[in-house]
Amino acid sequence: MKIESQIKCSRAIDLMSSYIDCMAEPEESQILESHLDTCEPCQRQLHSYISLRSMMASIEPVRPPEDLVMDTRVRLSHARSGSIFDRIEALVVNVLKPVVVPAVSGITLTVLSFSILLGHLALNLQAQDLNASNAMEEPVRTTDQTLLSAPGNSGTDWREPLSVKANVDYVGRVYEIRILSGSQTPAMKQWIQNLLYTAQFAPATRLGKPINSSTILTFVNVRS
Amino acid sequence: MRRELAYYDLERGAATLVDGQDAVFVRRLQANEDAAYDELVRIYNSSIYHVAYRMLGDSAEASDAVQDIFLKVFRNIGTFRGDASLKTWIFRIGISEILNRLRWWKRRSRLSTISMDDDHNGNGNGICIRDSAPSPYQSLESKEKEFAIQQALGRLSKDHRSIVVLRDIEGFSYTEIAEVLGVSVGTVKSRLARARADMKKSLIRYLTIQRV
Repeated sequence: MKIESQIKCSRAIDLMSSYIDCMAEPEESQILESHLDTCEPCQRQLHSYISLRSMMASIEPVRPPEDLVMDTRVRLSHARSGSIFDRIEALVVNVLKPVVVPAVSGITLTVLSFSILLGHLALNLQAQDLNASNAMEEPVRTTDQTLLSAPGNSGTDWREPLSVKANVDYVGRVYEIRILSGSQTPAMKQWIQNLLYTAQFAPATRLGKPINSSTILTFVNVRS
Repeated sequence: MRRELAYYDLERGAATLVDGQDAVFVRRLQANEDAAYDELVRIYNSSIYHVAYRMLGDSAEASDAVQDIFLKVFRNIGTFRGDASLKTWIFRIGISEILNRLRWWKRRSRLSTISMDDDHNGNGNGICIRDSAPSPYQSLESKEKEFAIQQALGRLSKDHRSIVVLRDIEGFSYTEIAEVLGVSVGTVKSRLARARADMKKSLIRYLTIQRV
């Protein structure tokens, strides 16, 4: 089969990009090669395309910021831990709070006025309501003093802070640990397990009732 | 000579899972498994950040984009049907997010600016130099080239920039690019040809052109 060699340089240049990636059709490659055999300017063009691709491929990947993986994991963790119930609750709180709070305040003032006028009774109920609304949800808290200053372990690697996600049950005991960042050596895992599985937390509460929840703890090495 | 160079292939793509493992991995993600999300971030964090940085030209914007991309992956993983590989599906979300940010910038007249700050404050997010102890002259030349490439990318249209970054910097195949951008392979070829022609014009003084 006779290959057409008389293509214009502009057409040849159009084909070069896919040719250098081996993505030109076989016929296109033959046409281009035939043209290149007789066209020095296009040979130089081809070399410049190859040089361009090599230059682009030689760029070193840009290293992400040190804390990006950690930040991404934390944001993902927050998004993922929010159950449908929590999202609805958040929506209700966010949408209704601006309406409900003034309404409750108005009612409270009315009740207060009546209680002052009439003398009795409603004041205690009202106080209980306020306490209840404040106590709707409380996060898990650290009560164990050993967590504030725990002895380190010579076998652990403390070159960077250790961040740990701990799942705490409704009695305040840790039942699952996941290291989010920092050294993940067996010695470090053993150390953090020994520390957290024996620690006591004040469990999170919803409407005053203890519930399972999670907390993120960060440990840093302090030399004394 | 032409053929040898023509068959030189780029193998700098993002680390990816093989197809057979995709389905299992996706099921783990859909089951909201902690370890699966850790693995997802570990595998794709660097490559998504690199694409975002090359597209946006700013490390802080790129970091924000990476986090939003992973959140969108989490929120949409339930809709993943396996029509494309997980890698191309994730990058489709990624490019869409990045293009939205570029549109937002354009609307506010913050047209692409090239951030070289990272390099100066020494946090390592910007220009990277090879570890093989380059001479000061080589370092300077390398920085200059990278700066020139970033500027040349900034002058391309969004569509052309996406295609050059995915192909010439991240090493995606034409088929993968077509899947990520939702266009045909023919469109990828023609857009890449035009984009490379523009890049070549911008970078001509850095290119080695052999005398024949």
